[in-house]
Amino acid sequence: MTGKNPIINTQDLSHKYNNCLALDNLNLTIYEGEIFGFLGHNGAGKTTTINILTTLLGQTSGKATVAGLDTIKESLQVKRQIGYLPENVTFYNNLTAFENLAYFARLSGVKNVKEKVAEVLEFLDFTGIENKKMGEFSKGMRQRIGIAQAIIHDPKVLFLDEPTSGLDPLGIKNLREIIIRLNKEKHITVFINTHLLSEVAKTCTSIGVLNHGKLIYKDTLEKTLQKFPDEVALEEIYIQMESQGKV
Amino acid sequence: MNSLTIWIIAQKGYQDALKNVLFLTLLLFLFSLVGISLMVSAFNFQAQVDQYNRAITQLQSMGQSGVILDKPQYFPLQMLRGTIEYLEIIGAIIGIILGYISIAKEKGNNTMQLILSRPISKLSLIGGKILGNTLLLFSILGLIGLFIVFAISGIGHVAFSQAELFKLFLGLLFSYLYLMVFFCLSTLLSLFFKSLPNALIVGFIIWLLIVLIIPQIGDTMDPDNQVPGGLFNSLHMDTHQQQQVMTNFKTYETWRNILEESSVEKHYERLTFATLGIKSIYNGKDLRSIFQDQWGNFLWLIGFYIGSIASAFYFSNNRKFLSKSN
Amino acid sequence: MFEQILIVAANEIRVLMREKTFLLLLSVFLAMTLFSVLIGWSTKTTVLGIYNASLILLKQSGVTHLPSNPFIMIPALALFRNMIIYVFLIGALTSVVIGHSSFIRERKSRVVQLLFTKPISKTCFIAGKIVGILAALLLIIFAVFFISLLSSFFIPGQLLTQQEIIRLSLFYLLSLIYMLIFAMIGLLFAIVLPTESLALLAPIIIWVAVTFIFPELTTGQNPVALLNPTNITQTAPQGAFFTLMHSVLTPFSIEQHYTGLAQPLLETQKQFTSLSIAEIIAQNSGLGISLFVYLILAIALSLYTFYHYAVTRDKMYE
Repeated sequence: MTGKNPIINTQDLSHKYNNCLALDNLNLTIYEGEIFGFLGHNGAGKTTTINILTTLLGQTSGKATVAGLDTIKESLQVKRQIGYLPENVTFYNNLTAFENLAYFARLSGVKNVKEKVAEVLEFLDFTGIENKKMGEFSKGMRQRIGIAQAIIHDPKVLFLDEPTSGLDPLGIKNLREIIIRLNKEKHITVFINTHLLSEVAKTCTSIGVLNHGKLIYKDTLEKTLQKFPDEVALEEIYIQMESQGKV
Repeated sequence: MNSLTIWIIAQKGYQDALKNVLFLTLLLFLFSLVGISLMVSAFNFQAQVDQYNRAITQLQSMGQSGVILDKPQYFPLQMLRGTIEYLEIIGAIIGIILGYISIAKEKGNNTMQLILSRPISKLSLIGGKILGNTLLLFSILGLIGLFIVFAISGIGHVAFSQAELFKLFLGLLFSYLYLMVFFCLSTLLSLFFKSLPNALIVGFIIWLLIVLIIPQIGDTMDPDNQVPGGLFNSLHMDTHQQQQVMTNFKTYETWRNILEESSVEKHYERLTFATLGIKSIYNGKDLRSIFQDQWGNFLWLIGFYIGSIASAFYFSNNRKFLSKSN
Repeated sequence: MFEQILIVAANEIRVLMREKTFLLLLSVFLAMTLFSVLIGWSTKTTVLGIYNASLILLKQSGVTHLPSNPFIMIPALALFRNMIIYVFLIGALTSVVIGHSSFIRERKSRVVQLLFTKPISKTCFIAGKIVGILAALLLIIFAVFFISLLSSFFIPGQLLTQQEIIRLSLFYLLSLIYMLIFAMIGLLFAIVLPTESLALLAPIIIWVAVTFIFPELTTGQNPVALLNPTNITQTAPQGAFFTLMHSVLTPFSIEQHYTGLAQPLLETQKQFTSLSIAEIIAQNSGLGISLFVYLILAIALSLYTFYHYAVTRDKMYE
């Protein structure tokens, strides 16, 4: 169901942290309806990219657009179109799940908060926990609330930063199903930062590989698997690309 | 308990504190305060002398002799009032921070589990922490003592007598006992609270109550403090008459006393003020006569000290404190 | 825009009301308010008793010229004079904790990363925080004011006149401003400092400096003496050192600005009773203006640091 319209686009996007080039002229286009898996070693610049696309960080040079909107000049509009789940968010522990979700929904301009919270929890198959305090939640439960707050305002793009870290196998499986359903049923484009290759193979429709701030590979999953017919696993493709520094 | 492991833990506690920005900031702060309070005392004394000299010149210019005025006398230990009060207030905070660090360091990195997975009992762990911080407090108070001796001999150009030096030593020793009470309190709070910063805040609340509020209530309940310049002064009554009147108000005084006795700060203050002669009636007296009056406060202080160390041992061994902070 | 500010402010209060440390501080503050009135009343009764007993004794010993009742000259409002001290001790500390937790909470839970990707401007967000803090402090002040008023109804001979109620209200308004300054200092350090404990301790050090050190340096009084409500003085002792300190430090010693205004409002001393409210304000306008300036300064600094806060570089985790 990959469409033709680009929804995320970066042109020569660079970012420097104290003279260290975290992101080096990134040119990346992601189309509406994709589930994009962004791979790379620790410190490759994946989180920097997500930070720029979610308007948390301004780039040093270049340009980035999300849903056709400039991430710096039109940041407020961009924020209306995106949902974001960073790594390791623990929420307001003293508030209930409902209170947490209602707060984020209101901030995103959602009007019928009660119905919307119920709808989202229903979609995530996570009802009956509305009045429990978030402090009592397990990592996996928190992750679901994290997804719920990210989609409660019906965004066009969902950004997930290392969403599987700290989850048990069952939690990972549930998350995978949720991502696919969000993509299929709600037509949300998903951008996932990860270094779990098995996840990418099972979930994503296209992949990109980042190495020391440079994009060294980008294609659909299908074509990637065709290009490397000899390789058994995606992992080996990845290691091969990483060691060569490019494809 | 193994004395070697205790010693290792003690050394580590000592080093941890010396590497902690929080603690070092506070320590610097305390030293500046001691300096400031000594300076203020010195200038206060100078102001008194100036005033005395002015009064003498004025009297002499009017053709009268100046002998009717008492010359302000210089007692080095009396200059320490501000210092002791800062130890009461800021010193207690340092005790709380030290207790917090000693546990936070282990809990924060989850090294508590690592340590306890070795053949070390919880008792040695707490014993080590207490020993390490005792050494640390000795070093700090020792430095403060040296600083005081040099600063005061410098200001007044008078060397300390042996008796004065011994009184100063006792004053610092009492300070150690007092600070350890707060150390143990904070160690326990940090062990029990799931959230370490909450332990710190609760520590501050208790500090506020014990150090500032209870003594302040005691002070305001003092009838003599109710009228500016003193109630009995305004009634023109002498001490004997005061006592006669106050016998009728025993209950009120008892309540006021209970309130004051409940705060370790009051005992520390009374004992130290008496020992150092900051309270004028004890000034220049020998230790025996001071202690005849002050043994009650001394016992209270020792009692608080032993009580808090015992509870640190007791509670840390009786409740699980592996609970990871989140 | 206003709606968003209100959303943030409402959340601020909701979260605060669930925080145990805040509730503990609040109960200490409220209990002390109640307690201070009780103590004031019981002390007053006792002192009157002592006075009467003394009169009998003095008469027996043949004194003919009997001194007048020293308490007659002490006005009803003086019953609340301990509140001055509780505000700059407990009130200020509570405010520091409110301001501190207001932003630390979001940093350590990483919620701030979520918030900054929601369609709300930084200005609305921080404005919401400040409104929330102000509302929390207002609630506290109202509660304290209510306890004071109520107790004055129940304690015999303590009914306040209209004029006195106005004075009391002005005193609490002043206290609100003073507490807000400390809340903003707490917020400021919660934004800039890297760890939670440093961010808590820094404003507490400032609080100690303002409450004990500056007054000591400018008046030559020892720290503990500053806690006696009948003893608070604003003047410097003689000597070049104190004159210098007084002129250099007094502008920074905001606790003295606060007490300087609060004392005449609460008629802590006889000479204040003859002053009307207008006269008090006219005589101490400098102190009031200075407190306002500090408040605006603290808010401005919090805003400045907030706009420069780099969310993606923040390493604070729970």
